[in-house]
Amino acid sequence: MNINFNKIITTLLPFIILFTIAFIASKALYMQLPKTSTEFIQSEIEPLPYHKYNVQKSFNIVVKKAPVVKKAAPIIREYRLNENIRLQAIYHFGGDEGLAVISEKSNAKTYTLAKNDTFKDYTLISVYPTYVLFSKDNKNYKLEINVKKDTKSIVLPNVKEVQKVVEEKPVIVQDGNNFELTRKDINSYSKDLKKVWNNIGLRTHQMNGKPIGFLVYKIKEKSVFTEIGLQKGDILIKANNIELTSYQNAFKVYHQVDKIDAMKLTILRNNNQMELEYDIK
Amino acid sequence: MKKYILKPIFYFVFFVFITIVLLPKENIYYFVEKQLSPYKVIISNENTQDKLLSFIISDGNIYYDNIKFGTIGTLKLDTLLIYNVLNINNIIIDDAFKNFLPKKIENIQINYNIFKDPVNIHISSNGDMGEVNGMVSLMDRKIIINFHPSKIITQKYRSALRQFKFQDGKYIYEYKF
Repeated sequence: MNINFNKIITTLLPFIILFTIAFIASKALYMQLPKTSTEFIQSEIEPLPYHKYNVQKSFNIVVKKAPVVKKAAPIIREYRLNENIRLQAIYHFGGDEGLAVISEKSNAKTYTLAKNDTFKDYTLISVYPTYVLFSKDNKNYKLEINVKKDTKSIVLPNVKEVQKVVEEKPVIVQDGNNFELTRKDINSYSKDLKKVWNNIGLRTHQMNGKPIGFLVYKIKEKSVFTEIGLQKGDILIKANNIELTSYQNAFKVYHQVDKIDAMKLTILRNNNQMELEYDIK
Repeated sequence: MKKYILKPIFYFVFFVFITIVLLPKENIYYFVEKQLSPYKVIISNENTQDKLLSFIISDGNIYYDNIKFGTIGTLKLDTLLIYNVLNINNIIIDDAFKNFLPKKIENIQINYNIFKDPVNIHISSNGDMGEVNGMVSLMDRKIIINFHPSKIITQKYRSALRQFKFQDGKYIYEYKF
């Protein structure tokens, strides 16, 4: 009986030891690990509703407008690529996509670069019909096409869906930087994001590595967006005092745009800050 | 002689089994969630089930940069320490992104086999967007994705292909980390 008990102990002992080691290891790991899940909390940002009160109109007061002092905006510096490089040709596919043919002035060797290709530590980040942008050490370098006979810029046609349905022209009343829009027009765009992207191209714009707003990199001529005062190169920095520094804030504005009756859009144009105001009737 | 070889193997298998059973899988998942949050990826409102050899998450909402990206049907992690598989099924993309991406990703599978390929983690996926095969090279610290787009992508969502390089008839995405 005594021998059997000893045998059982000897057989089980390694298992008990291994189980204890595994148990202690898992408990030690448990102590190190987080005990709660990461949950999404809707971040509080300024409420969107914005009401515009025109005191002068309400009380029929005629006030002579003081000259508007434009705020000095930070200067966007453009850096030139190394003087030894010449941009020979651009094959533009639309947007900021395309190919760039560059050559070295010293040996006339040519290189064809696609977007995101690197040439001597310079990364090609954008291709436009007349210039390309390279990036190195978080600085952007602009290289313009030479205005010589041997240079060429080829704009390839965009593969876009042909819109068969003739869109109704929106009704927009303009008075300086104030615009009147109809809710019907706003709703037609707020419910169809594709319609927005067909007419305007936006992407985040950074300054000193921090996002400051959304750059209008393309805009369809005679579209609703040109009629509401936007131009190519504008940087949208605020909408109703919500800073457009992230897609989150931009989506917040987009999702609520059909519920508001006025909007103030702050933009940066040619390094000057200006405001566009919209009344939605 | 046979006894001397088999005994340590048996002890090792027992130890691995007990370690997997006792592993705090739910807390490991919370740890992975915490690691994702600096990249602005959050999985929220999910149900978790800690099984004997696996861990299952169901009905979670995925947020990226505080924008709801979509929902996941189930996420199942099977781990045998030397062979690990992560299966994610039924990812439904949110309506806000319907103009950028097709609605449904059927399945994403990520597997890592220490014996078969210790330096690479393999990824495969299929759905309305087509088929994706790729790997994470742990040595080169690089993610390589080969994308075979479906007709819907080439016809309706061409802008999604801008993230990829077209090379030798394939769409390739590379990212160094």
